[in-house]
Amino acid sequence: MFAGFFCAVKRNFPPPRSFFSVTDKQRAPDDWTVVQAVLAGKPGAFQTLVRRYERQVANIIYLSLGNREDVEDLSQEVFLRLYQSLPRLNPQRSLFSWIYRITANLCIDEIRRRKIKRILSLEFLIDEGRSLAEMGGRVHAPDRILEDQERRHAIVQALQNLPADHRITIVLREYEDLSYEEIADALQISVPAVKSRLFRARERLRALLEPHLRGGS
Amino acid sequence: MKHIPKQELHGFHDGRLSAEREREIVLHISSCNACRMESEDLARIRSWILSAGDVRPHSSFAGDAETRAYDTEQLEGQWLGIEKVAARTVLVLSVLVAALTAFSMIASPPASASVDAVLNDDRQDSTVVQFMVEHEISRDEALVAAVTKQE
Repeated sequence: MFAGFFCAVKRNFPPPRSFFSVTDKQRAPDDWTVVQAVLAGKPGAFQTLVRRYERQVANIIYLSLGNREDVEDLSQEVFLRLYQSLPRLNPQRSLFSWIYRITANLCIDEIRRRKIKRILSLEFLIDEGRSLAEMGGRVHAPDRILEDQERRHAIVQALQNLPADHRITIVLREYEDLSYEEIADALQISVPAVKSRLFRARERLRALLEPHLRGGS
Repeated sequence: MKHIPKQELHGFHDGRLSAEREREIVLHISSCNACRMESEDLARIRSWILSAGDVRPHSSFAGDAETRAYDTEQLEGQWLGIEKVAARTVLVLSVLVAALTAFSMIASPPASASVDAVLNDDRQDSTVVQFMVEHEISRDEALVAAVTKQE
């Protein structure tokens, strides 16, 4: 019954549990229609909105922070902030840009908070050495799956070595495929600033991932 | 062979160049190892970031998020109710205190008006009472004495 409900959504999501009754031929309601439903107190409407963006939000958080443990809590926080801000949102603007802004701000705050915490605890001296050693290590395992896992780990570790604002910019570009203008809107910066951050982030990543890039794959 | 500037290669990677310039770059990287390698690096980094983002929220995540949002709203609503009641109580108490102060000002004027007050017998003046006791005189006599003393 709900097949095709989210055909207008950027990526594939499982169908929502409730909210609008639609047939296969009907298109998914746009974000603002759903927002109106949430504001009108329709049960399940907010859930629909969350399902649309939960995966993107979770992965931006994961790639920005580098650990899976906090992804759920922080994602919940993003959606809570979204819910609280819904009555104040401007329907002229895109909702996803607002969601990305909330997510980016939360990630940047969290990265800075953790950095301060690490500096205070001096843990970074150990972590820095470990992560660089892990990143520099060549992949010898013959198993392709293991190689992929190692590479994923390496890229996540490399991302953690970028400044917070560069990290979130490149994640929005490469993972979310946002345009420069969309990133500028989400992060409240200019398009040239987006270009500059992307350029620096990529050059840094290339340097950090040199062993993996030249390792042949 | 002149290499493609790095900034431009990034623009190419992001699809920000004109179709004509894109064609020129494609032609160039087909014959330039350095630029091709750089372009491939950018593409690899992108694909690795994409494949690293493999977190899938559990199936009840959206439901939990909705429940949490509604619960928080309700809780905040309750707090707002308590805050409103508190604010109203403070307002009522302030008005009451102000009214009582005004009433007491009218009902019992300040000490500076003591002679008139004593003469009008509006309130007990401890000086007059003390004078009565000390000199064993009546209240009227004490009042006259007080007025005379004041003058």
